[in-house]
Amino acid sequence: MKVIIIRYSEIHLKGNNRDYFENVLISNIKYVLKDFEYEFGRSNARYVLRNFDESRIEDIIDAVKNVFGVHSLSIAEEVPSDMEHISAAALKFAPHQGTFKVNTNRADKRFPIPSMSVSAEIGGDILDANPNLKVDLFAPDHVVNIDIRENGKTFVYGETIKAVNGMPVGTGGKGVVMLSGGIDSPVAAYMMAKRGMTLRAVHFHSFPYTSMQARQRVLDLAKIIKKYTLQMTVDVVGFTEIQTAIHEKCPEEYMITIMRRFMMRIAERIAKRHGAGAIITGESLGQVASQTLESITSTNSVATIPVFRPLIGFDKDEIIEISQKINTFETSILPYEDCCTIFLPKRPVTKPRLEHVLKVESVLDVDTLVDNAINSIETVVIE
Amino acid sequence: MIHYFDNCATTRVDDDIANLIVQYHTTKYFNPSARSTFSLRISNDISAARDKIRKLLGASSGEILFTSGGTEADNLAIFGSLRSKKGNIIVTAAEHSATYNTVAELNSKGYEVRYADVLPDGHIDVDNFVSKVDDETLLACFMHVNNETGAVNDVKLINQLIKEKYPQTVTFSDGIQAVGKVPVNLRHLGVDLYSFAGHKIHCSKGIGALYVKDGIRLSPALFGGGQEKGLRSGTEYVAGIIALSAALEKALNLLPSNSQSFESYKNTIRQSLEKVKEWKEICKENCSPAILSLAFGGIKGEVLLHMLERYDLIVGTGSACSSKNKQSRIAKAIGLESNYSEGVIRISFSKYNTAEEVCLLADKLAESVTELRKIMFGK
Repeated sequence: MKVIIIRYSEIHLKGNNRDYFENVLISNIKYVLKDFEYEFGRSNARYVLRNFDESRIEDIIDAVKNVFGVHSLSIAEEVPSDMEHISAAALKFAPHQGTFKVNTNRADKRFPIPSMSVSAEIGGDILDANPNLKVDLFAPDHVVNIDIRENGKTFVYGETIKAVNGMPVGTGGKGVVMLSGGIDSPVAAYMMAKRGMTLRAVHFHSFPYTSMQARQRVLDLAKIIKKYTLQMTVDVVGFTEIQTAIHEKCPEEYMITIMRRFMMRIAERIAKRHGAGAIITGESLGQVASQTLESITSTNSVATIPVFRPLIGFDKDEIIEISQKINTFETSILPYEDCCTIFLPKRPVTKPRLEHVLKVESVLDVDTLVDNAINSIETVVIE
Repeated sequence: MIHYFDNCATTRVDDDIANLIVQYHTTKYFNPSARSTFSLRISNDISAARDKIRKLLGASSGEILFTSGGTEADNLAIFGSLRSKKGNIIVTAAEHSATYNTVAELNSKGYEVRYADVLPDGHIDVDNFVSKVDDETLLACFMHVNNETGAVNDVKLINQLIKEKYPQTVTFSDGIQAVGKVPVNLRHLGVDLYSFAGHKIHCSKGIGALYVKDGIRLSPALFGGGQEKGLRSGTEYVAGIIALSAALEKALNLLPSNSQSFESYKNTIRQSLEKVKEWKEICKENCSPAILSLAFGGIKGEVLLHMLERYDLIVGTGSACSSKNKQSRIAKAIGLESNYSEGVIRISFSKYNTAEEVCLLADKLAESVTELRKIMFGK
């Protein structure tokens, strides 16, 4: 019978919490497989899917390999633990050309033949069937794996498909990610989801200074990253009043610094409302004026919960590489005005002093502006 | 109610044209290539539409080939007309992306592409264009009406000068913003290939055509059942073809009166903008009456567009077909000063516009520019 073996990653290190991590991982796997029929089984340090529609096997693999916490997958044959069945299954996974070796793991020590002998015998059967093949024990092109389990069944498989690793989403707390629509923020969201964080997104929208297309782009990006975050809700915050107020009353060069401080305050209010304990941004040190240490100090000072910046040490090229991998790049580069470009000062301050920022900001009625922005929120649940 | 001033992007389909399209889907749905008498009637309808379009556009001979739209007609003209693997192609940076990017593709296939200059109002610099022609010029592409500025090029003159210099050069003009908006007489223009599209003249999207002069041989764009003289296989979009001929007839009947109304609409807008500083009309002379392209200093066209949207006024910011790129290639090609280059909006009229809604647009445009500037620089 054809089965899918799912191996999980570092959660086996978690000692007494292991059950908790595993339960979350299993529930995440079941969530991505909600449209499939299958039977779920647990085995030692792995899960096994049985009785699924074999014509949809590629779709199942694609869904599961993007679940954080999954280390790798294999398509295997599950056969009774006897040499005849094992040999027949091994022939199905034998390569057509090149070099190979057979790797045997005998978890069931009651099985009468030692591992090495099983490998040698099955290797012989494969060679008999295809004399063009060669055995290479050290650097083979292909490996045929035989895993003799305690339950009288053996898994035989070839290729191992790499999955995304990381920690199961839901085991790393809850955070609010600021999604601008650019390249960086979806990557930041991906990085935190990879460490098990459950995410909710906030987007600042300034119609008519930013377009409905820019808002749609953010929702499209949210849909792409939902593949990894499993669930996604975007709070779209009306930001026009704040932007125009800052623009009217504060020195031009402080526009971005003060704007970012407002975004941080609003993100924190949203976080607290939804029981989230962190804010996530796509900042990378020194990338733009608002991402110098001094600017980050100014914006960070309004937050009372941790602000995670998973891209802080990344070069733009490295960020782009991940965004291409997770398929957000093409959407991120669509050319719409976003809220940071429209009032972009000619010479933004790169090293704002916090005392001075506080002084220039003091002309604004911060609480009312934040309240109004919070009241303007339109919540979009990404399906 | 929506006040729609982006008719270069696309137009509203007329009700009677929509009904005609439905009719050819629900009662006259037969495949023109099949053997029944019903099919023969459909085939005859297509032939009649083809003849009618040719006559309406002033071509006594030559062929009208139907395509899925303007872009496909441009591609068929450009890819289909190349008879040699070596040689040069002349184009300007002001061409629509459907031409510009198709020619750029040929560049990557090893053809030499020569880029001719464009004048600040969007017209082709005729002398510069013709100077690039030599006895290796395979194809010359020069659009009739510029889709962003409205500049009407002297297609007849350009064609004549090219043919005098090297008669073997195939001449192609993109007439997509010209047909139904300015007078078009293909015999008079003299070009070898000329493209146009239905959805710019109150017909549906999905239908376009390429005029091919007698004696010009094209190679096929699509292979299959041999429809459209073997040059564009695929079951004909019959409804679109019939609708295109009907829509074209209507557009040409209305052309003189529309042109007059549109010129007066332009004046209304100009008058309203007298109280606004720092703006310019990109093309003032030899411009399509249907297009008014305006550049405002220091502001962004996209933001102005969204400000007008608050009053249900829909305008464009240049070509909708290249809106996936932030900077307008054409604004760059015409050398628009940096202060103005991002502040371009395109107002394009149709017969559905009324003097009343033009007044609303004129007022709100002046008001929004002033408001936006006050927000941005008003401290």
